[in-house]
Amino acid sequence: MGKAFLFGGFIAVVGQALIDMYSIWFHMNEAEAIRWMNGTLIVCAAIWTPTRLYRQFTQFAGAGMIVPMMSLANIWSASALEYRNEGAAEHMLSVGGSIIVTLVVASYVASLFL
Amino acid sequence: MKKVGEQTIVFDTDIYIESVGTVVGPKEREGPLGSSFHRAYDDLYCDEQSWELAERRLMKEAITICLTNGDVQTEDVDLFIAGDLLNQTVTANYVARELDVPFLGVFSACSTITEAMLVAATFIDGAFARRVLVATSSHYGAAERQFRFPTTIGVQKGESASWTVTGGAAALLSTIRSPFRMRTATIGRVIDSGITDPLDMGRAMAPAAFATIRQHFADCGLSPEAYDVIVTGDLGKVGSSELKSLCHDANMNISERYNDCGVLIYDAEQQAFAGGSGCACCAVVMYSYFLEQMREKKIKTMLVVATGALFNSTMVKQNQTIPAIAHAIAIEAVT
Repeated sequence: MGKAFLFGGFIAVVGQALIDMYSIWFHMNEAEAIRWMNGTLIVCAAIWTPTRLYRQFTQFAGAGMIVPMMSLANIWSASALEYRNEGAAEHMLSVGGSIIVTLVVASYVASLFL
Repeated sequence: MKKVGEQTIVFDTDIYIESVGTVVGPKEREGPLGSSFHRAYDDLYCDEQSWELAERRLMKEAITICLTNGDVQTEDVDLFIAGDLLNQTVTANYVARELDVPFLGVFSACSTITEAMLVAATFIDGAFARRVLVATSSHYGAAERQFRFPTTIGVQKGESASWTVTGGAAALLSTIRSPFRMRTATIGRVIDSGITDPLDMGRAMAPAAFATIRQHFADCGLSPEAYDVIVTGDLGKVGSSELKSLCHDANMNISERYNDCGVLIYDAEQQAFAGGSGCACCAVVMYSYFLEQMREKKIKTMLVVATGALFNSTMVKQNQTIPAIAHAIAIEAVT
């Protein structure tokens, strides 16, 4: 659990560093820098997927690597890769589909109170 | 009388393992038994386009090696008995398509090899076949995505999880004298110990292994001392210690002569969790490592108890418990 806590926290620190980097070096406003930070982490997760690096990170850090949104990129790219011979699009959401359903339902419920 | 006791068959005819063939993947080659297999691939894809095709190639090559080692043509084989883990045992079916030999498909998950061997021996003993080819295979990638998740998804596995062995194994059984004779076989019953976690198969299968071992000794009127080695298929570290404690509680001391193929096939550093599993696990270790030990006269008798978890992912999603089975065969060295 300690490893998950530290690793998850480390990802957050990297995220913050990316935001600062984008806003200082590329003169982005905060909202823009956050979008770029998200994009960078997602692309990293997708690149680490086929090399099984992401899997090794998860085995080490557990929830520290599963909870951040990078995990979404990992699940979808892993599914697409795995089923590339049988139809990537068809199977892409077979594991991660429940996340989309949860997101849609949760957003709807939250919208009722906002 | 061929049947003794409740579940055991004693073959009247001397049935021999004429020749064997084993092929494995990269992780198995890097393991402690790496040098004992006939052939190993560097790449998990085994020069094929998909995991399933790779598995088919493993089984096919194991058969080719086995036939070459025995100097036997396919025309001289009366019957082919095979099975594997993939849905509808497609690997065995597609290999049989190319072999053009009468074919019987068998399935009892990871205990398929001992099931195939005992069925083959029964055919030979009854004079329904002269020479029978048995084969089995499993593949890490193919099994992982069928039973669990795609291989690159980040999941954290506990110490009770197992690693599916990538490999194929084949053997020819006949009455032609060889150094290895199959004497008895005990057909297992399906035992359900109430486990629902597919990442804890060792614990789910240990009671089945225990039941078959106990029944074997009761039926044959033997004690564990009758065998130099008692080896289970793929209980792994967790399942093995569970089996040992079950045997200990039943006053049956097997510890000194007990081993597990799943524990033997990988090193502690290989991150294989509790150890190897899959149809190929017991088969490649038995045919390569243990038969070699027999050839070198280090062991004379062994009881092979292959264990299988009889579930599929649909049953697991419906929260059904995992039933298990174990079939035992006794092999002795002929001098």
